[in-house]
Amino acid sequence: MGAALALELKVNLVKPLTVDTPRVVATGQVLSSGRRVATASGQITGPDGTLYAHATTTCLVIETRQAPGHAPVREGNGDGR
Amino acid sequence: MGADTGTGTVRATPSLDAAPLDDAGAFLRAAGLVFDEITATRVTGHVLLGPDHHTPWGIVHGGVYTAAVESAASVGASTAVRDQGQVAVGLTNTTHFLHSVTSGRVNVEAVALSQGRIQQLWRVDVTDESGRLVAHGELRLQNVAGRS
Repeated sequence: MGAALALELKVNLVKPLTVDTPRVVATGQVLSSGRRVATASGQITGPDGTLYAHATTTCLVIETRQAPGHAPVREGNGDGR
Repeated sequence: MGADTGTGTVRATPSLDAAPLDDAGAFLRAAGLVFDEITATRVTGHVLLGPDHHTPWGIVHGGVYTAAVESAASVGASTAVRDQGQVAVGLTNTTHFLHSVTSGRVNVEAVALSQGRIQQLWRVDVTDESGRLVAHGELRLQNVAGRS
């Protein structure tokens, strides 16, 4: 079993969200997934398609011996998130 | 608070003066950044990390550091432009997560790198009690008109 822990996150804040903003949807996509590193992106959009924020992240792919919900046991010496 | 843009969204104008953290929204209270010193060029604070900040994998969620970067730099940058009736709002937040933490105090230091008429760039370091860099971020901000 594996998990991806973020090493870096870049967020672009396009439009402010307020209490009056209608319900927004967060979506994410894996852009690439290698043996050690994965990249992904995400967006927050409104019901009319308005883009409020978008982000990209670089993740460290790790092997875990336990199901998510428990502290991971590292197979390697990586010190990332 | 704001003007309807006609697209179902409401344009927001931030208030010139920040509310005390005790009066902040649930998200900021949960993120837990406590400010120790606020100036126009440097902000310091700390976060007491614990299980409430954890991912499902039992370590502190990177969003906690990202939020600390955003908050510390925004407060400092807004202090810098307060006398011009402006507030600084974040445009781009880039945060690097360097070491995993499960609990304990981390210190947050935000320093202005560039303070222009329109935009600002701040650097934020998050360190643990031994001085080890846990996370590092940069926030680019836009100076916008505030609401009295």
